[in-house]
Amino acid sequence: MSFALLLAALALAGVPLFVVIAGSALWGYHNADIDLQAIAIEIFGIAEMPILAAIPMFTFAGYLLSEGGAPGRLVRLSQALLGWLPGGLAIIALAACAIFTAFTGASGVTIIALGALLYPALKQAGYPENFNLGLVTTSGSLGLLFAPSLPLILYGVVAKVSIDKLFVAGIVPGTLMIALLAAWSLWVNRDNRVRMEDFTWQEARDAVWASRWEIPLPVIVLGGIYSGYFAVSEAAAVTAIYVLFVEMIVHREIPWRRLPLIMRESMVLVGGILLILGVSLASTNVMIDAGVPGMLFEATRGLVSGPVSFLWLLLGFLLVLGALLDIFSAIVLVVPLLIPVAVGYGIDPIHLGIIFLAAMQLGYLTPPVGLNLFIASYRFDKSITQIYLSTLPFLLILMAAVIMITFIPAMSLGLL
Amino acid sequence: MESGSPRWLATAARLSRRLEDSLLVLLLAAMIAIGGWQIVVRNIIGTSLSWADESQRLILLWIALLGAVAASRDRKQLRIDLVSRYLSGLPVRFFEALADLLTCAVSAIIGWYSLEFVRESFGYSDTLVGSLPAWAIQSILPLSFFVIAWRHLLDAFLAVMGRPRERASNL
Repeated sequence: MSFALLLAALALAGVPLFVVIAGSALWGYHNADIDLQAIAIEIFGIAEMPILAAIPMFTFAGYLLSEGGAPGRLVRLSQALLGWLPGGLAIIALAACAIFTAFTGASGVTIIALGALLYPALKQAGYPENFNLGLVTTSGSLGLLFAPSLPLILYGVVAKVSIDKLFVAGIVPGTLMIALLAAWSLWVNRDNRVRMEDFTWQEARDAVWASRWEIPLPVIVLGGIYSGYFAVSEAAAVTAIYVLFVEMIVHREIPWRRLPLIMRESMVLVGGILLILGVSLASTNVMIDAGVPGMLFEATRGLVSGPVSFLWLLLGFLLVLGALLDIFSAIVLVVPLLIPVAVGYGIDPIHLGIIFLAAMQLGYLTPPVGLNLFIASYRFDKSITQIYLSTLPFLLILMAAVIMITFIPAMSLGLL
Repeated sequence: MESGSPRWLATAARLSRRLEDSLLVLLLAAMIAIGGWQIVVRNIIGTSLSWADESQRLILLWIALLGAVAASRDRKQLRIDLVSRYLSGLPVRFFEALADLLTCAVSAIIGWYSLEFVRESFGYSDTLVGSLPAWAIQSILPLSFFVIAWRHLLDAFLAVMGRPRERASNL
């Protein structure tokens, strides 16, 4: 117990998480008289999960998309199609960010690539500044329940559940989040005189034409997977090849000499995630051997009386977890221990995944470490306190959405 | 480049950075190409490539570890980033040096035991993807962890000396 506290203190002091996790695994091996070579074998286990190949390829495709003119075309397209609605631009921001985040894997790229376009546009249209800041900051992690987002894939790998099913399960909860935020945007701006665009067929046609290469992308990815034409990791290869072709050969907006830099840059994130996954394979086995999931189940039994109170406890735990850990580390570290306990209370692992990711999404917006708060503060040159206060109403709405997602399993499981 | 460090060290560091980055780019390109080729072969020619799956998984391992090396060079490892956001000055240097020393120690331990793992697999003459020697493919494990350990040792030294961080990432 004191060793666990020491590790927690080290993690809070800024020691890289892989070091803390590997340290705990090595300590566990040492205590159980297991040869420390076991950690090398566990890390080598990364090479035994075929589905993981999807992660670098989707990440690279997302980074490449965010470099070229794709974000601009996506905003133009949404503006042409939705700009005539009252509150249209706010809804555009939500929809465009959600689609974009699904592809870029909620790595903070959305705020940088799309926020920079949407924030000035919202301001120009006459929306209040704090509303714009909150909206753009919140939108940066909005699409992570939609396929093919990285956290969904990683959860599927770690929880050993079907990724195809997870992709379907995320649709209704993800849409609920967007719908609630859109309703809020309309309500807040009900008295504002916001400029609305006139819908013209000419602009709609032009915008669709400009995006003609990007529009098929979701169809290729999802259509390919659900028609059984290719597996998730193959869909990732197709996405990477298609995006390479469109950005480098059709649009030619990115100079070729930048390509290796973008490839390397995207692999830094992948390396960070997979290294933690590798050492977590070791630490998880140590904890399972020590019977930690069983102890957790017993411990929660003392606290809660049934599934409903367990879900409340789970939500509270996930909100704290999300405020401290990034989503990827949280998935690989906590999910293997959580699943047996949740299954003990009759919770479907797919539903658990959606709850987990939806709750972790709030972590992007909560201090002390919420990634989106810092990126937005840096990108829009505002104090972190201002970003936090302007994001707060959106955070509360998302929290209401997470509670609904938690207690109405049919939202996640209904389409399966 | 660090003016006080010997020239051969600076050259070695530069070469190593080049090699790491080039390998990372080449491996990602290979992974995408193999993935695409696999689909073409299966759907058009109607056969499956026996080596494609395994080689893609091993490339992934290399990408993961080289990416981890790159992340440690850029100081972009996943961590709970409270200290550098809410503190400044001497306390930050203290915590950074502590983090670097621990990272160095743990990486060196993993590197050492990975080396044992590779040695055993060399002893058994294991093979992967048909006839490739397993030890050669597995050797990325000790290599990458030793490189991470070495870089963090230098970083810890620089943190103690109070040198700016950006320098550290160049070594």
